[in-house]
Amino acid sequence: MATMGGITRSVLVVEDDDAIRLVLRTNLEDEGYRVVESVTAEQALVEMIDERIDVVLVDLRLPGIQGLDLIRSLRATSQVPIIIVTAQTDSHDVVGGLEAGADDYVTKPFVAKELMARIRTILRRAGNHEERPQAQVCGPIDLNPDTAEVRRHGSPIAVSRIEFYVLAELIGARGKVLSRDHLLRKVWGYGHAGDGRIVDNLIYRLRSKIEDDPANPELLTTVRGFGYRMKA
Amino acid sequence: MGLRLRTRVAVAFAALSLLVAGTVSSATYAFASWYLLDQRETAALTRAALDSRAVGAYLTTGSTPSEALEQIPSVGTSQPMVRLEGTWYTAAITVPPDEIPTGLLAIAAPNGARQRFSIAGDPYFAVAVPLDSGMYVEVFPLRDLDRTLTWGGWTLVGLSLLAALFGAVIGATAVGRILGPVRRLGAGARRIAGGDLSTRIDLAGDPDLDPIASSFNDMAEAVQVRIARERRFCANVSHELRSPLTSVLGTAELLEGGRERLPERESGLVTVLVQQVRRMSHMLLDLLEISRTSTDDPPQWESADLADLCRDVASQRGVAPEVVIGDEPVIRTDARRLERILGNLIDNAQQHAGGVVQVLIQQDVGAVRIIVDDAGPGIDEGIRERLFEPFARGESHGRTDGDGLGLAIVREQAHDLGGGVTVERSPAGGARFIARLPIREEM
Repeated sequence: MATMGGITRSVLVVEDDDAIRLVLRTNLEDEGYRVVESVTAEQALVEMIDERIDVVLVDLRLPGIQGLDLIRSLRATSQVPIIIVTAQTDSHDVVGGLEAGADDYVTKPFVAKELMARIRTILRRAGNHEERPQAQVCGPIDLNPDTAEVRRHGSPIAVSRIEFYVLAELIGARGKVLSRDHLLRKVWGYGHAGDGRIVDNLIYRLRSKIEDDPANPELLTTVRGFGYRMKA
Repeated sequence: MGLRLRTRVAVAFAALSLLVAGTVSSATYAFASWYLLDQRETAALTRAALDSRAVGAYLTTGSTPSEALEQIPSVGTSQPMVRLEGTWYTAAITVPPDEIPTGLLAIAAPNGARQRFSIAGDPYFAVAVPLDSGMYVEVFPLRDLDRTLTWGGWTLVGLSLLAALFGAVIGATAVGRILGPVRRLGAGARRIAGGDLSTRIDLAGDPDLDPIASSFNDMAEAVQVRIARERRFCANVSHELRSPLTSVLGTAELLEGGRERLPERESGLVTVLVQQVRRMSHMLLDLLEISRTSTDDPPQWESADLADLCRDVASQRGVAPEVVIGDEPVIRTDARRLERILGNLIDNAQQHAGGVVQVLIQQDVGAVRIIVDDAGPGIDEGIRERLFEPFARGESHGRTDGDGLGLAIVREQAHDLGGGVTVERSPAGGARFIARLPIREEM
């Protein structure tokens, strides 16, 4: 999956630890990706302009601009999938990263194979026609899989790749409750129980984009203890 | 120390009261009996002097002794008697004349010789006055006085005992008053021992007791700070180890991936390397888990079907979901912590005790219990508490795969969910781990 239509996929690794960068690079290159390395957030922002990047791996603790700010800056201009690679276990760091717009996280020490599997899933969703959602309309929301575009009342709204998949998944099963676990497996490619907060944060972000009043959602509702449901 | 403090103080107060009351009573009794007896004797002496003079006068005028004795006015219960030429004459025979102490007769004097004596246990007082031709003796019974004194004595004894009882009550009450704040301290200490390090004692505004309470609070504060610091240290150390370990693990796994390209010797070494680095990585993650406080990582409460969750955890570890039996409650819990609790209990059973026999779920009022029975030989009572300490090992079954942190994590996570974990003997003879989690109300 490292190539699509003959184009090699590129991964931007933002990590100040040389050894970890080398491990990541070797793993990614073994999988056939092109690797772009940045030691600092500043450098990463430049690379994002110069290179065509498909996935970004960000360490939260960086010299200079912090990982969180980098994620925010990236999100402001790009819908590229962002995965946090962090040694920070404190809940608020991870949640902060997810809130800033990251799509997933792995904590150090991570198992490289697992990280590779995650990246593969995220990219496959974008490239595989069979798994592409159908064009769908749900209330004011209009989903176009060919352009990965979402319109609300006819005007386009910016959603990240992962947000797009989750929305497609929910609209595809509209009226039914989808559990966090289901979404984690389906969209993020988790093979085992993952962190439900990844889903919660993404739903929160989605609501702010598609709901009239995100605090009192009408389209995308929470079913306490079970999961989320898109209005039929 | 056999007796309770309250009992000891009550006894001491009672003894003191008894001593004081007893001394006062004894003195009172001694004085009263001396005074009453003295009064009675003085009166008797006067009376006997008068009577002897009267009898003497009658005898001189030629009356017979019996006539003379009849002439003196009979007052009270005294018994006059006269001896003339060796013969006793008396009007009554309450006291036979031969019972009169002979010593008294020997010392008889004109102003009256006196002596106390008793007949058949009854006390008497006799006064002897010599007559011209014989001897006059008057015997006064002291029985009524003796009775009065006895009654008074017992009354004083009773009052002394009452005072002792009163002292005991005062002692016990005083101790109760003093023990109130001490009990509060004790309850606080118990809560701290139970793991609630934020426990503080309210100052009651009493200048005598407040210093104790604030010392206690200072101590609790110091303990809390100290433990937080140690936790932080452990977290920091583990944290700093993460980055290097990540690259070591990543490198080892890369080497493992290209093992077929390596010579046989190096390939074997790489296998060992990967195994050990993975083990270290698990241990590090577990250490981080333990050093993480519930404030760093507050529980994520959500409704969950407990039995379903347990079956998931079991099957993830290759245990047949059918081992999960019992109630099927839906509770509010933190699924990740629950997974850590049951997962580690199952790991423990598999690694140290021959596997899981059953996972029993019991719903109770206010709490659920997740019970894991293993197939091992059980755990001796002496080491049960220590088992939940980090790096504790049970009866060693040789080299094991665990990192010694599993049960410590179970305890930590159960504590974060407001519950606890204990171990006892299962009906089949193995160990039975019981995680008890309170049921939270819907928020």
